[in-house]
Amino acid sequence: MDLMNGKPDAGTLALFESPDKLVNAIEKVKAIRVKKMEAFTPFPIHEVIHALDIKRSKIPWGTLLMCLIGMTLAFTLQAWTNGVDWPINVAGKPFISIPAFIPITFEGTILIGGISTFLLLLAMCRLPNRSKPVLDVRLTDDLFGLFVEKSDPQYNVENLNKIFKDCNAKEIKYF
Amino acid sequence: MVYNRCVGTRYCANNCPYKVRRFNFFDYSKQYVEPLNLVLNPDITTRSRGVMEKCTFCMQRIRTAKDKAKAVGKLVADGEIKTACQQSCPADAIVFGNTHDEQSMVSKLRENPRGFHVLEDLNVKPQVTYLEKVRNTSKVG
Amino acid sequence: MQTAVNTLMEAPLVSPDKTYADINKDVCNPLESFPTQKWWAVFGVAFIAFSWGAFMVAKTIATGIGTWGLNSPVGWAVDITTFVFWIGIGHAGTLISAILLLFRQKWRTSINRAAEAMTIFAVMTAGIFPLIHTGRPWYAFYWLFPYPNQRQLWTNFKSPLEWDVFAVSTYFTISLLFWYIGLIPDLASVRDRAKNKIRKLAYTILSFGWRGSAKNWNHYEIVCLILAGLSTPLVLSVHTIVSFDFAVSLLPGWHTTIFPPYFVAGAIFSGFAMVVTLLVICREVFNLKSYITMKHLENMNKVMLLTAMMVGYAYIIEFFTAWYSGNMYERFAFINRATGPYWWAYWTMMSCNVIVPQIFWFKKLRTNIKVMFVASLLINVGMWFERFVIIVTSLHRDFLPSSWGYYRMTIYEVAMLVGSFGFFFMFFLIFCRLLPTVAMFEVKSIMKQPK
Repeated sequence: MDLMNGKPDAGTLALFESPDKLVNAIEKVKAIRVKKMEAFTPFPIHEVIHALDIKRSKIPWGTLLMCLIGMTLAFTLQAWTNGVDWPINVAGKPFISIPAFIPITFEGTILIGGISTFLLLLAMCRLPNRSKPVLDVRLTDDLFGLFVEKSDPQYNVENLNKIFKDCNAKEIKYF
Repeated sequence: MVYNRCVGTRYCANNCPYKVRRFNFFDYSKQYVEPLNLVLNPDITTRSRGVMEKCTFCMQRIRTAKDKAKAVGKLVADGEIKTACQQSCPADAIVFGNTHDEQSMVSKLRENPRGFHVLEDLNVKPQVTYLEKVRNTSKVG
Repeated sequence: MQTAVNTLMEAPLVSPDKTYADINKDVCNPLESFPTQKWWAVFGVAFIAFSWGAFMVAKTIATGIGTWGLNSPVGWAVDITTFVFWIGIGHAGTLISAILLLFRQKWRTSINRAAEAMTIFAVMTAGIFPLIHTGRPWYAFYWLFPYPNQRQLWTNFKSPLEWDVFAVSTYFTISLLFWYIGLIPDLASVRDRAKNKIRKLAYTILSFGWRGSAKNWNHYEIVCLILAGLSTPLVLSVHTIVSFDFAVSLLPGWHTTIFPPYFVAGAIFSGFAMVVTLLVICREVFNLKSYITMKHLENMNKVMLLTAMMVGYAYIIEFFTAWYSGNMYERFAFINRATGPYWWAYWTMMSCNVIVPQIFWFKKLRTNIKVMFVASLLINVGMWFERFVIIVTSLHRDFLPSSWGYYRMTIYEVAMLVGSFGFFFMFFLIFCRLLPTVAMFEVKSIMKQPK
């Protein structure tokens, strides 16, 4: 599998021991107008996401849409089967009874909304990731990384090295 | 009651306030080994294990009468359908008929002031009306 | 001034001597070592319990529901009691994961993984019962789903049992997704620690190749919040729908509007009790006391006390409402519960659910491991009996005295109950060996940063 044996994109990875140091480094690298960089952290850190100017995720809109679709599908299923296709008189209850249909309609909303949210997450994060290998095993443990891609026009190894050393990087790796 | 579709959750029996629904806990028809199988009514499904059953007012007789009437384009006449219990009752204590037909025997008896329904206040509208025995005969007449 | 502020601070949620690296090491340790003899012993017991249950259930399916003690009028007893019991237990996991996330309660981070795993396995266990309690399970497993067929038949969507089918299926699916999404970054951690090639491959596949990039975390956090927001009304609705099985009927003792909130409170109550039972053992056996601290256990005990009061209130108000209604059937149903043939079940329920949790008013008892462990076991006993009392006492004596009867459990039902515990514990024990029992990345996010 590429993920385990493949080669990563060319660039420089700096490893830091705390989120603050990483944010500091991001600000400094932004200052020299580098655009193509990615941060890797073992847990989500708002300051890092903010520093990288990452916009709010659009997934909630997708969830809203799919919830509404789920609600409509569930209600329509019940109303059509019990009201139109083969109405059966059950103790004189109305064929299309909104109160009786609400539990399943609600469950349909949540089910379709939830499954879609999961699929949207996979899609937006391009998961399952089969090609981009892990840059350092400690990035899911206790280190915070900043990766600058070589393809960025402002990429300069000496500049980056200086910035990273100023920010007390624990280690710098080159790919 | 549709025996073929019943999966046997017993929820209907739990909800029955009269507890007239009976569940086939075992395969009771197994005991009807040849030639005892002739005991079973050929006009009605033998209920399998795990199926709920109850009195259906002799559904098979109702169906036969309705089919016969439909074939000649008539309505089922009052008294044409006799349930098995009605047929065998020596005291003629049971009357069966169409309660939608105001002229039928059963409708008239239903209106009788002696008539009552069991657990009437539950509003489950049972199809069986019982005629109360008049006991205070000294006061009558 | 600084000192004064420090003394007012609460106990830390993670031992102050632990670093980020320690978390991975401590939590992944059981995954990376062979199971101990103790684990095999406990698994063996669970397996035997499950096997006995499975064997007896197979016999029941082969011969008939008559192997159980059910009769007319008691159509449901141990089967549905145990179903509601397990679904109820599942709710605490979702509450800890979802509702506590929405309330930004940091203390949920070290307990939510195990609690959610408990939910998944509890719902799986519960799901067996609607299937096997039917007279014809070989039909029930697919006729209850609305699939297009040649006979043009559909299900009755107005039946509470049909609502149950959808509710439990949705609950299982969403809980599984939520749990799995939460696992992805931790599976990545386990993958990155793996030395063995096969192990690394397995966890690579399971973690979907997660690398922890900030862009992905951005989407990830929102998705967790969304799923929490979806799961919260879901958990409330699922047990409400389960309570509708009873509330929507007309039986005295069943037909009452208090059931939805009462059942949900009871579910949270029994669920937390099971979480405490499981975590007291896990933190001891896997050495996780620095993460699952006394503060966490104490908080859970407080929740149990709260829900115990709600359930106790429900018991009392039901009695009052029955008397106030003047309805003779309703009044009788409740007097019968306390003084009739099942009085022993009723008083077990009362003592375990109302009296036992009162000890949690006292800090000394709230923070005592032995006390809380025994209390959590008793509470679950009480909660099983609560459902038993609701179901059996209302059925065995309803409107017409001519229908009255008595129900006695048979060995087949005992086996089914014991087997369900075996089933649940088998899965939970395997979970403890293959997956991190504490949400590592979440615990790291609430820890103090290194300088």
